[in-house]
Amino acid sequence: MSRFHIHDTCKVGDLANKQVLDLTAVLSDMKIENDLRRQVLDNIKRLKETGTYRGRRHALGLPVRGQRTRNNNKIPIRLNRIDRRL
Amino acid sequence: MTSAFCSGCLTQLRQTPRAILPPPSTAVPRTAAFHTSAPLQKVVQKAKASGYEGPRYRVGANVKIKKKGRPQEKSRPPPPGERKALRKRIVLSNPNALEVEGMQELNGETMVDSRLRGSVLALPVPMIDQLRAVQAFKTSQGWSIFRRPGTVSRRETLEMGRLFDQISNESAGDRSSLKRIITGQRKAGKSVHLLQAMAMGFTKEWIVVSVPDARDLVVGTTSYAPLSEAQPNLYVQNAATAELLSRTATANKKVLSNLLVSQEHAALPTVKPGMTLEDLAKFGIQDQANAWPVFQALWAELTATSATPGLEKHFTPRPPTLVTVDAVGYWMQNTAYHSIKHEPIHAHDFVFVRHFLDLLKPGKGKSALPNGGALLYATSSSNNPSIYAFDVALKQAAARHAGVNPSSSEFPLPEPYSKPDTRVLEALNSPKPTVSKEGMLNVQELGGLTKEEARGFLEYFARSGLLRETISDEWASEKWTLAGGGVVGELEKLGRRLRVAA
Repeated sequence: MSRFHIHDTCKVGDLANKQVLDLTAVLSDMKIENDLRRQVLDNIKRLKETGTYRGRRHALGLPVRGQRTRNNNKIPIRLNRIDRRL
Repeated sequence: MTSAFCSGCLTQLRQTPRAILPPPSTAVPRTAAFHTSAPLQKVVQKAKASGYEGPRYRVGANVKIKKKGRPQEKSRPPPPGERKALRKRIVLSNPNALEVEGMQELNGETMVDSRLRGSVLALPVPMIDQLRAVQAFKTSQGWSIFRRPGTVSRRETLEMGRLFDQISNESAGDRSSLKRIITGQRKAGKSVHLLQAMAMGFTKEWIVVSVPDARDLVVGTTSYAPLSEAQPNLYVQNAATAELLSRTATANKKVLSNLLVSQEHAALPTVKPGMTLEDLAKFGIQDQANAWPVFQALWAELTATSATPGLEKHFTPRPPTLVTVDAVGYWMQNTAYHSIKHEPIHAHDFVFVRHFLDLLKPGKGKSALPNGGALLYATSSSNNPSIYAFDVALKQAAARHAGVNPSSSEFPLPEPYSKPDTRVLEALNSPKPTVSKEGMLNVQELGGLTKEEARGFLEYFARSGLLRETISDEWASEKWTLAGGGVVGELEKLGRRLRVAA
């Protein structure tokens, strides 16, 4: 925040015009929100297409990074799909 | 399901005829008299089915004691800002307190009258709004216990009153100035001393510029920005400057509305010569981005001794200026703000702070306050960062004022290897001014009241109905001692706590 001279208790409404412009300029260069989501999905898709073990685990709805599957694999079950959405 | 029969024996084989059996009880099924295990088991099983089902799977069997928490609040929390308003509220009157008969008001005569030493002078009612505007009252001070706000006239007050009177009576353009840093122990009355100064300033129709708490500028709660592209290491605090302008404009409305702009201000094209200084200040309040240039313009106007050629018709001699800053110790260290490289910014890199600290130094060619006036900066002892360099710098300033040569062995120096902040030492390094009328920086230590003043102060409590006690010299002297040698805040505690002595 010091880069834009924003103090600790600043609220969005208190920002000066110049600060808003600078922030927008920096944020427009960054990959955020849907672009970043799409990038993550692309990475997973690449794994699947190359037929890797990780890709397969993603598609099967199983944990990818060597976790056990006896119990507690709730998050992979919820998230890992063939066509995953984020 | 357990069998009603004990499997280990064969009692069932020896059944008695049915007719002789007593009617079956519902609670405990009857079986053979000397076997107890089966019926008991049954009873236990029943209890199991109805209530506790034993420990669950993989759940710790700890004893759970339900804690009695705080009662849940049903009501909604107060709306935003209300708690803060309550915290910052300043009550200046207590209708239950008695009105003190014959209480004198602060005015031009009473502020220099040494016969009134030790008595409490009331603040005039119209001035209270001005004092509120400069935030001279603090919540920690006991204004709310008396009928009307008043301050005790002590030796230092009278001395200050005399100096103010003297400066006001000098001819315009040739007034002297006074520069002081006020120190003293906790509750010694430093902030109230500033309040008395402001009250005297308003009485004498000076311009009062006040920073009620230096801490607000350094703890990272107001916006900051680099001063300009050319000076990226200097920072400006526009919101805080706009507040300062607003305080100054509200409190000094009467004086500022009679003074006209008589200088050229190239940085502010909207400012026209001939407009009042009050309107000038309002420019900065309305447009915060311009607050700092407007403050500079206002300061240039207030310190002007003559008009720019061509604008003489707008010029009237400027009144003296009083500048007060409370808790100045906060300005002697790194702030909570960060530079673009995320390094902490020193307080002296803020133009606002720098402006007020530069006033302590003798002006170049002319006085720092050419129209006279006073600079009163007070330290705080209840809320104060501990800064070694500042302690040394205060000692050095006192020594310089006493005439000790900085190269002599008596001059206080920081201890070797203590690494004091050189900027702080430099900021208070104020040599003897070359302009004759300009005062030299001095350090004034506020101590306790004298016994006579303490007695007068306690009598005021008694006359307000807070203290039901016959005040004798002996009694007052005892309280004076209990208050650490007449420390005024401690005396106040004693005065408001004591009740009827049966």
